Amino acid sequence: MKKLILSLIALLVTSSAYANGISGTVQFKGTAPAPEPLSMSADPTCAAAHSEPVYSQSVIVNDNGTLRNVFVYVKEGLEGKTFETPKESIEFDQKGCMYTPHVVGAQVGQKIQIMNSDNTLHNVHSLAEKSKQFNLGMPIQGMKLFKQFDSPEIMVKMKCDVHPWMSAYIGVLPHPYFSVTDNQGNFSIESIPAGDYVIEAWHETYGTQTQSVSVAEGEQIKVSFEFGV
Amino acid sequence: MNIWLRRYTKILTGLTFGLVIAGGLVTSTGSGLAVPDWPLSYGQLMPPMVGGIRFEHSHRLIASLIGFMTLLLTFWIGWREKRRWMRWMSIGALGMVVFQGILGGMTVLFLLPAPLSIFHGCLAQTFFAWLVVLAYGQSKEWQSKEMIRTGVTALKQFLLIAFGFVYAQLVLGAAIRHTHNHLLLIPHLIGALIVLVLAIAILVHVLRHHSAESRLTKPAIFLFALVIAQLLLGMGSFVYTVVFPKSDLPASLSQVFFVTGHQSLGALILAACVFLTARVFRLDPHAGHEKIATGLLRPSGAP
Ligand SMILES: [Cu+2]
Repeated sequence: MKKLILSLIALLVTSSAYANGISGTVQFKGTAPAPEPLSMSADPTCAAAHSEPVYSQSVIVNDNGTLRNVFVYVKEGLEGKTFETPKESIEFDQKGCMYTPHVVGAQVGQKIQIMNSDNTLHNVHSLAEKSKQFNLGMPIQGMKLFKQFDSPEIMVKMKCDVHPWMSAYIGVLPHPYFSVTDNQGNFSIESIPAGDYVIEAWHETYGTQTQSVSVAEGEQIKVSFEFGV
Repeated sequence: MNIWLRRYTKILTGLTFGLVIAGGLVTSTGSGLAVPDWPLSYGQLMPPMVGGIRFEHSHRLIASLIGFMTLLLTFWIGWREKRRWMRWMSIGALGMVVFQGILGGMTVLFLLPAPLSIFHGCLAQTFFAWLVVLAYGQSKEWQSKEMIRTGVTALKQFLLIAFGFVYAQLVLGAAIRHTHNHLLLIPHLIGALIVLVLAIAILVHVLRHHSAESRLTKPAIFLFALVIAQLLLGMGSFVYTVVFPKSDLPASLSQVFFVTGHQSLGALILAACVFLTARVFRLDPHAGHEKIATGLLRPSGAP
């Protein structure tokens, strides 16, 4: 694991927000590594799906200097509580021989709708360590199937062995308090009960960082993380 | 003697070496699960050959060919061959290839558990070495009456010990490949040095005692050269998988080259070692026994 420069911290801003929540940004420190180009020549259908060069998603630094695809979630503080499994499914698409989204969260038992939008075949292969692994062929464009994970796990790696550049990560949690940083580096965990929590930020290349926070009734907390070299 | 049977066995043995390389490429390119079903591939006999499927499905096609050819060989030998041990060798080959095919299917269906993959890799090389002996049994040399007398030699012992260490190296190498447990590199490296010493011992012994016998010098030199090349490929594999690991994106060409080459050359070393052993035992069957007759190992109490 890479040595992380741990940085902090929390601007604890009490706002007159409607409900309790934790939000913030993940900053990137240092110079962004040159994006690694992906060659899709092993499958002409994949190569034809992109007119622009495609890059590895293992580090994406946004234009505003923030880090994308960081999974931020409540690690401690919700023990003993149970949460309903959402009825709506998570969408997980294979499009242009890339996974969309690249990082996503799901609750234990929540249905994940896996789609193949490509006119080529994929095998969707879960490398879960705490749930049963699977490897399913999806040879037909438009094909959909549903899977779920039975145990919490940070993170379940998904990959395609037909197209070895394809990988994605699914954070599986027993509660709904998680978020993934967007193209502005923002995350937002909403409607969380008041209490003391440890939240963790996970990134596939830079590892994890944690912070302790207290959320009071009616309080919106701002937290920022900083990853980098 | 049947010249076509002899040729056929040789061709099958050569193609099997190709299959060892093809199987190695599946692992080196990370394509072992590119086709999730077995025995069909995406429910078809011939899926689109793209990405990892190119490696996995080619491996399945070549394997089917070898399986079919081995079946034919067993029938052919059963029909034409009088020697019982040859018949049993061919039945053994058929049993191995069928078991190997099922094992390959299991690695796919159970998502590559390391023990199955290691077993599949080791059985592949065992099958190849087995065919080498079978092909040698079919050769003119084996079936001639000729023998050479070399006197008491340590060569047989050297060869059998070398075989044991080469086989252990194969198991260790397969374990490193499929578990990525870098601790195993230490015994693998020690094993490599022992194999090197043994290859040198065999070469020196042959050159000193049988320098006029090219049937022994050539394979001994070949074995030694393979071991040297193998050390270089092993270093390359180490550099590209341990020193500069590249886990996420497709494996680099150099990594695929060194790792597959190292594994395939390992199969060739095993086969060369087995061949030379078989040849020494065939050409000089009495060497070693003379020890009992003439010297140290005389049963006690004998005059
Ligand atoms: Cu794919």
